[in-house]
Amino acid sequence: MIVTAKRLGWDEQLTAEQEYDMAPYEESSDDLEGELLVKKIPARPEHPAFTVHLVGGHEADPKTIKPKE
Amino acid sequence: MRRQFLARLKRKFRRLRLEVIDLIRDEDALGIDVRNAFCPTGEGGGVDPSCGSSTGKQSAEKAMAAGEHGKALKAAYENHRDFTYPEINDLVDKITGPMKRAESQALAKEFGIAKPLSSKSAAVAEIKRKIMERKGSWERTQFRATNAFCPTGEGGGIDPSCSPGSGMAAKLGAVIDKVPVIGKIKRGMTGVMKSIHGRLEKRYGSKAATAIMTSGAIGGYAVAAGAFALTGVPGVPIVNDLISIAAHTALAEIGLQASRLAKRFTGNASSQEVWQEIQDYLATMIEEYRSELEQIQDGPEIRELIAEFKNQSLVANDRWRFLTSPEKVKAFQEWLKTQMQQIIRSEDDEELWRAYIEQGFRKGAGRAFDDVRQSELKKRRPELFTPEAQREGMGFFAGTRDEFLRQSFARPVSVERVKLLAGRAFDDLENITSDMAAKMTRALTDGLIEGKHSLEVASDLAEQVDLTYSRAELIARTELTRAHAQGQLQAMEEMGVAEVGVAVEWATANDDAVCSKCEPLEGVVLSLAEAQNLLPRHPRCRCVFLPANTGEDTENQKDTKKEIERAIRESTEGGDEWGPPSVSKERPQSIFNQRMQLPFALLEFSRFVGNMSYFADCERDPKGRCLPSGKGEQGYATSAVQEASVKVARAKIKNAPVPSKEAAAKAREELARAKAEGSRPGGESRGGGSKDRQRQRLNLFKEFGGETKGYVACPWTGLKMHWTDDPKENPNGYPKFERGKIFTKAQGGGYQIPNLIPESFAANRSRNDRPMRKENLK
Repeated sequence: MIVTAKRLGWDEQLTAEQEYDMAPYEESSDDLEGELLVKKIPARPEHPAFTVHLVGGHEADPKTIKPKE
Repeated sequence: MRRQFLARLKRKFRRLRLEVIDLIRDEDALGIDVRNAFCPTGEGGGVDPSCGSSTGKQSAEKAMAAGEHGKALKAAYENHRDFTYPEINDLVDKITGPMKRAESQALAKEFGIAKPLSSKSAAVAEIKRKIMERKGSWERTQFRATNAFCPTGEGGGIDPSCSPGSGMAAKLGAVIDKVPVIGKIKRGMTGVMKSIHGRLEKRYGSKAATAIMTSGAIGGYAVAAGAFALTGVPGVPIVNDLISIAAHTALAEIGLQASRLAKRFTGNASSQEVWQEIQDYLATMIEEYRSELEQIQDGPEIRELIAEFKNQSLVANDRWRFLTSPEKVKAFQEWLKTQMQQIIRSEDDEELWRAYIEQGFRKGAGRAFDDVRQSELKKRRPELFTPEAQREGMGFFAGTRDEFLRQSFARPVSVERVKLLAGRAFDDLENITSDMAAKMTRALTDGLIEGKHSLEVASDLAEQVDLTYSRAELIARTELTRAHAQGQLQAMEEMGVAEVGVAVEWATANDDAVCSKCEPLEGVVLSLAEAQNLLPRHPRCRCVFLPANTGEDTENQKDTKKEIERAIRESTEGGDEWGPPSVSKERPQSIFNQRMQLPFALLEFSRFVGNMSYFADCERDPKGRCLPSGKGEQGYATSAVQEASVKVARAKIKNAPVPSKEAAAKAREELARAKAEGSRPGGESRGGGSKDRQRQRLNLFKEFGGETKGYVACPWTGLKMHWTDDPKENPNGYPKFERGKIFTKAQGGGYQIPNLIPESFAANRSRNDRPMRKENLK
């Protein structure tokens, strides 16, 4: 299914405690479109488990994923 | 109350069915067609709008005469049953013959073919294909019902009565249709189904709606096809409209079970509501018309029709023609006995098992699969749909889909279940002789293959094995539950799904009659190893395992060690020792454990089981199977590449220089100040200016082998990533990676290459400020 979504981190209101590098969005568009692929990533000793929502091969914010009208 | 009513109704129908069929079966009127019995083409969500129509040719001719070519084609499409394949061919040729290219293309468009057609011949071929495909689809469902006992296919000769029908059931249906109540129920049923389909369509889209409806209909087909087996004359397809009503009732019941599965996929309760609605409708309608229905069996129409049967000479397959029904029964039983003995004794006869079982199972599943996936497959693998490919049996239906079903659904599940049941020894039960045991095996196995309800199987058992009904019911329920559960577990093990964290969820019948032993177990999620031999929990147990971690709603699941152990304690309060030897703390985690809509769930599932990536972008052998290759899932690197990345990352984590205590203290101060002001720590914390950041990314890209591969793999997600968005450098458009810190800001870590790892954004975010090293923590 083709969906639209916003790139992960598109409306981040970062505080000092949530320190992220905003650099990826200096050049990229926030709007994504493409096939949705959801993948659950298992935990590793160095890293906790988490879920990736890919739209058109790019990480998308799951709250913004909508079927393409 | 409703349950009691339905049970009473079911018993009534069973009696009625038996009596009607009893009247017919003494005649050699065998091989009756089931046309119109259940209208199971599935179009329009399980009910065929064209059922019973016989005016297709006239409509098409009338439209042709009026010059309305599109209308004529639509008439042929809607009434495909009135046309043979050559007639469809001729009709389309006749219509398109005098046309020019543009006209034929416009006609194809009018007929609803959206894809661009470059020539007249392409347009004509597409129109023919569309009509013939629909007819083919209908025939396949008919084939399911007529040849329910023909495991090797029409005329394959295994079942003595696998012969084409004479159309008498259509006559029977026509007569019965005249009884007003039947027509009312049928029309009402069609309306209900259509409206439900419409609502599902709005919510999930057309394909998912059809798939959900069809998932319910699978059970209905099995009942329709298996209903006549109650006559004791297996292989005689006498299905009439009375049975059709019973099948609808059963459909509603089984639909409820099917809806549980659908619910797993859709993640909401709508499908349950849908089937409840059907059940309510039927209960009301049938209650309302019960007295009329009761009169049908004695009605003059039926008696006249039976008289007519007596005078008919029916076309039958001469090879298997028998003088009387008992001979036929005997021959079939002899055949089955030989087959079963051979099969049970031979461990290598997988093919025989498959042939014996496949017919009953795969087509229902196949239909749902077709509806959801066919169009997608066309886009991805158009070569399967060329005329040449269809001719060579490489087509969607002939080749790939069957292969998919064999590999992923039909073979392992059904074979294991039936094998278990057929191999089960009953001789050690009290007062059961070996002859009775053989009959029990036969009745139970037949019931399983035909998808019968356990009460129907119990009825067969009681009748054939000379058991009391209550004992038959106990045996049927217990043994079917065991066969289903163990078969399912074995099949899942064979498919290797445990490796990706797929587990099973304990599901009770979820009604008022669930016992205190089973009730606490509802929703318990067990690994395949833990679930072994747990079902049936007790004699007459109705619980089942549902596949879990496959994208279902996990809200009511008990999936932690604590919850599971509590459930087991509650279940064993009566004092019996029961439960898995141990429940591990680490619970199965699956990549499917996301809330997904049906198509996604199917896609994910098919990706896994369809050898093992049915829709994956891979090189394939001539049969369409994925060739082994190093290519990963779209967007993701192969696990080998990811592991290489993990290795580099781990080495970096191990060797990262520890920031000084002063740096850590300064960073914490900076963080505290920024927090108080509600702003980001600026400047340096972003790793310098734009050029500096680019340079850092490029260095990390090189460090993780990006130059040779054209991408780097995120160590944690495996996602393919690049150092820049610039299409000149990154022609494949991989997402840009993050620079993840090994020592966090609070630990004094900064943006120096030895302290950085390329990570995907989700990985970077999910770790938050969790440290990778323990130094410099507060």
